[in-house]
Amino acid sequence: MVLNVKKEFAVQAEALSLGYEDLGSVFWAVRDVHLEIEKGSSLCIVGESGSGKTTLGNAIAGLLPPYVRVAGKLVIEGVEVIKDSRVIGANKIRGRIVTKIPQNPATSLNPYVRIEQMFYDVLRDVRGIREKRIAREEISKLVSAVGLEEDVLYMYPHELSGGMSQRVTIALALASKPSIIVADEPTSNLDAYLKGHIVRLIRDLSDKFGISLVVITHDISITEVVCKDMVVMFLGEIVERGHVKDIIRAPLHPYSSELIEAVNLESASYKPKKYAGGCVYHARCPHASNECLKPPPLLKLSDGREVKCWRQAR
Amino acid sequence: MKPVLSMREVWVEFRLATGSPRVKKSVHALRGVNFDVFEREVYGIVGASGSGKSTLLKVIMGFIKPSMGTIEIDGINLLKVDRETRKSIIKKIGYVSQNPLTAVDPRFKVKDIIAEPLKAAGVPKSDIVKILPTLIEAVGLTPEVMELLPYELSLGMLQRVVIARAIAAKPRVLLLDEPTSALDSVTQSHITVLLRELRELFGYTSVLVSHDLRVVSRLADKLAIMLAGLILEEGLVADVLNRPLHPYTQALIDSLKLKEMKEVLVADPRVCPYYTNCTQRLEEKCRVLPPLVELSNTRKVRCWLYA
Repeated sequence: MVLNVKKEFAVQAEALSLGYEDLGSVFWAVRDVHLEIEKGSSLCIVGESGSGKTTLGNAIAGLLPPYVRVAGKLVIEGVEVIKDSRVIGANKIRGRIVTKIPQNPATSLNPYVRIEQMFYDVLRDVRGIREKRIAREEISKLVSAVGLEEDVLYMYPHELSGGMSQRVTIALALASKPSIIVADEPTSNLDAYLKGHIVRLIRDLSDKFGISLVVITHDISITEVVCKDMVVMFLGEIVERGHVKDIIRAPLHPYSSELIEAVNLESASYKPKKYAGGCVYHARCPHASNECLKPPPLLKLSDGREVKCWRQAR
Repeated sequence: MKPVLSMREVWVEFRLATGSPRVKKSVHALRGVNFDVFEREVYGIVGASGSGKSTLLKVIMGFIKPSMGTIEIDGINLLKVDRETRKSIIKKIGYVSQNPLTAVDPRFKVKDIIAEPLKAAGVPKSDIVKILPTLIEAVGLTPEVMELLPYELSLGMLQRVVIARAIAAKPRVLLLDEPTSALDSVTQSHITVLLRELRELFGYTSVLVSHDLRVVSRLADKLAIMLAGLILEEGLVADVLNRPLHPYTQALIDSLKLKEMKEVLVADPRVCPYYTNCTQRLEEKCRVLPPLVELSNTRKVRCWLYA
């Protein structure tokens, strides 16, 4: 008898589109995305500002605004969140199954509340721990896990440095015992020297607690440290997907190469982006041809590699 | 050769809120900063958040008053001259701030934003109309953006507008305060390349401040490493990057490879600011603040290992 091993997915998206209404017409920030993240694995979503990566991250975290337009299907840890063009289960996952590490820690911590109180609130509301003594032990564990001293608990957010407050938000994200953590640009507000430290911390902690990790970033250099797999997004579409190592060693899509060049500050091809049908990257692509006026198909190559480019289709 | 901009023993002190008028606490953001910037030179300053590098530029612009020291532009001490003279000198400084969104008036069209320093310099209107298209083109924008308002532009485009405004009146000194750090990595790369191209075109004299060693190494001639309001090391960019002397400089270079790096917490202003994190510290000696030692004409370092 063949043992039928069924893969379990933390996130499953099928033909997912997310859009915002703009003067009567709908602007689709994310278009026709297929995504599967296995339980306990890690995925990086890479792209520049305006590529729809934060919108996708918010959908996974159950944080879509009420005026959003949706299409397709999104299942998170077995909970149907988006189905039949409606958001139906966001409140079931938000803050419980999925937590988000915010982009700017300074503006996401309540300035009126001591750090300790924030932890009590999360433990009480999400996990139902009412007894102070038990909660206090739990908090001590969390704080030491992210490498902070207990003194921080008695401080207000403005007394913390950028690196310290980012650590507090990581500890707060862990406090609700989530199955998935979405980290939205966890390093973009930190200076270059703390970057490595914080991304390593996020990776180690999610490994330790067996949490699936989604890291959203515009900086392709940190993906090597945190993630195994990566998707590259441009103007709302996934243009390339694969293992981080493979993409960084040999990018297939010209946009992936541009992102890698950008890390070395060598990318100079500045052209405004606009979408006029066809390939999303058409207006900026150095290899663009007439073929690119038609939308390219998503090519599935070996080892989970996928790319959306006519040059690879030939 | 005389320097265009020179700073001597500049100290800046900030009062801290303590909750009581009787308890006085203060922190020194700059502790005796000295440097010279010569004609057509780009002087880069690198440091982590809180090291005082933005304060340094704000002091030059006159936004913050130093408690001690001299700041000279073309030999004129900005702190000693009368208000009118100082104003006329400050007009000759171009300033690019970290966040382009807060640097422009949201009610101004792009063309008015860029024309402001020209108007202030007394350039007649007919000339401004001629200069604007060349400026717009120099920063890689198309003439259509001239009629747009800031909210209609992306951050990267807006940063280009701010750069165009800063270079419009051919400033004597261009101050660049983290010109790329609010932008995403692709735009960062575009702006860095743009600043290098503009340098070939206009040959500006500049002070560039950033926490990103990559940006500074691409653009600057000289490099200074700052921590806790002190310059720890100074030298030509290639020298500092290839042969870093101070342990902190070495740690910064390693951090580019995303190696582990701990936050530097400076507790006591009397000890070497890198004392707690330093791997090569000499227990007794490093409890005293080392002096900035001049090793050669271009190289200075503040560390007991070289004193």
